[in-house]
Amino acid sequence: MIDVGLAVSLVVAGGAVWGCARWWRRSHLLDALVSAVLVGAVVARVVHLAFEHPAGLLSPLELISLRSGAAWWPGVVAGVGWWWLRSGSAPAPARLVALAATVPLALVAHGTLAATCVVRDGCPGPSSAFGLVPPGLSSRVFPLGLAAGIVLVVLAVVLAHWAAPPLVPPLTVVGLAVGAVAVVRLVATLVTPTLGSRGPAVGVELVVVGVSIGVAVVGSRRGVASAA
Amino acid sequence: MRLLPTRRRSRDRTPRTRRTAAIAAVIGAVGLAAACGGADPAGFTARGEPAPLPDAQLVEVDAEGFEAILVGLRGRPVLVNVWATWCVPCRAEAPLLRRAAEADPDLVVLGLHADDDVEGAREFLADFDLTHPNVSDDDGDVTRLLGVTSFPTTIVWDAEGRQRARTNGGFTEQRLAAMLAEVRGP
Repeated sequence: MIDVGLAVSLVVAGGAVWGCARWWRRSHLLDALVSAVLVGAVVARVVHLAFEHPAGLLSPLELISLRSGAAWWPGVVAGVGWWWLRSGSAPAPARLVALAATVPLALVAHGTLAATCVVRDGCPGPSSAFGLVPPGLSSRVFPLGLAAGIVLVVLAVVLAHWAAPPLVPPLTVVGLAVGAVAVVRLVATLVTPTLGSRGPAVGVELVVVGVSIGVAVVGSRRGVASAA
Repeated sequence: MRLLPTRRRSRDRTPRTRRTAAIAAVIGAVGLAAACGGADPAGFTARGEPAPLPDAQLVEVDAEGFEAILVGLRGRPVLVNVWATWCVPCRAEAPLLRRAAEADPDLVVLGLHADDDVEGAREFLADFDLTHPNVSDDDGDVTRLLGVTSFPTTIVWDAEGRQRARTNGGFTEQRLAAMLAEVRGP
C-alpha cells in the first residue's frame, strides 16, 4: 500500500526546500543537502534497528520503514559527517561557511516534515482544549508537530536573513540551529504521550542542548577573535 | 559536490516552474483536507457471551468467538493489531507492540493474524520475541467483522468495550502512544 501521507509530506518538504533554496540563492547547496539527508536517514534507521530489532538489519524493506523509528542524533551526526567529507578540498573555514549556509535549508526540511504530520498520522500530541482530533482518535490534541514545524521554519528564515555569516559566525549558526532543534525535541518528548520512560530521551536532548550551546559560544568567541 | 553559488539564471521563473509549484500546493492542500477530515472512532462494539483468551498462540477463531473474547476482556483496555507476515509495516511495528505490552501490564495487546499461513506466523512471533496473545483468522471472518481494509489495522477499546481509537495502516510510536492515551491518559 502506498503511504499517501508520507508521499504528500515528501512533496511538500521537497518543494519548500527547493523554493527556499531559490529564494535564498542557495540552490548550489541542494545536492550536498540531499545526499547528507539520505545518509543520515539510513544511519538513523540502522542504529535504531541495531538496538530494537537487529534481525531487521537483514531485511531491506524493514530498513526503509523509517516511520517505525529512527535514532535521530546519530543520523544528524552521520549526515553532517558525510557532508563534511564530501564537501571537497576547500579549507575548513570555507566549508564551515557553506555548512552554515546549508543549515537553514536543513531546518526547512525538518520543519516541513514535522508540520506535515497532519497528513501522516494526525499530529498526535498532548490533550488540549484546542487543536485537532486526529483521524481515528477520539480526543482533541495539540498538534505539536505542526507547531514545532512552524518554529523551525521561522528559525530557518531568521538564520538565513538576519543571522547569517558574516553577521553571525558560522559555528554559532550551526550551534544555534542544533540547539533549537534539541529544545524543540526536548519539549516534544516531555509533553507527548509515550510508550515507556521519557528519561533516556530527555537526557539525550539535554546533552545535545548543552553541547550546542558550547559550540555556539566557541563559534562566537572565534568570530570575535578573527574580527579583532 | 558544488558548494559555491552560481549566477541566478533568467529562466528561474518559467511557467513550468509556476505549474510545478501549483501542483505541489494542490497535492498539499488535498492531503491536509484528507487528514483533517475528522475522526470516526465509534466503530465496533463486541456483543454476546464472554469467553476466555485461548491458552495457546494462534488458535483459530471465527467472528463469534472473537467477539466473545473481546467481551471476556471487559474491565481492561484492549488493543487488537491485525497483522500478517507478508506485511512490511507489521514487521516494522512489532517491536513497538512488544514495548506497549511490556510498559502497561493492565493493557491487553491481542494480535489477530490473518490472510497468511500459521507456520510463518509462529516464526514471526519467535523472531520478534512477541509473547502477547495472538489468535488466527484463517477464514477472514474476523477481519470482515472489524471492517479491515488494510494491513496492519490497529484498534483500541476502553475497559467498557467502547472503541476509542483506530489506525488503518502502519503507525509511529507517537501515534501508538496517542491511541493508548485515549484509554489510560497520557
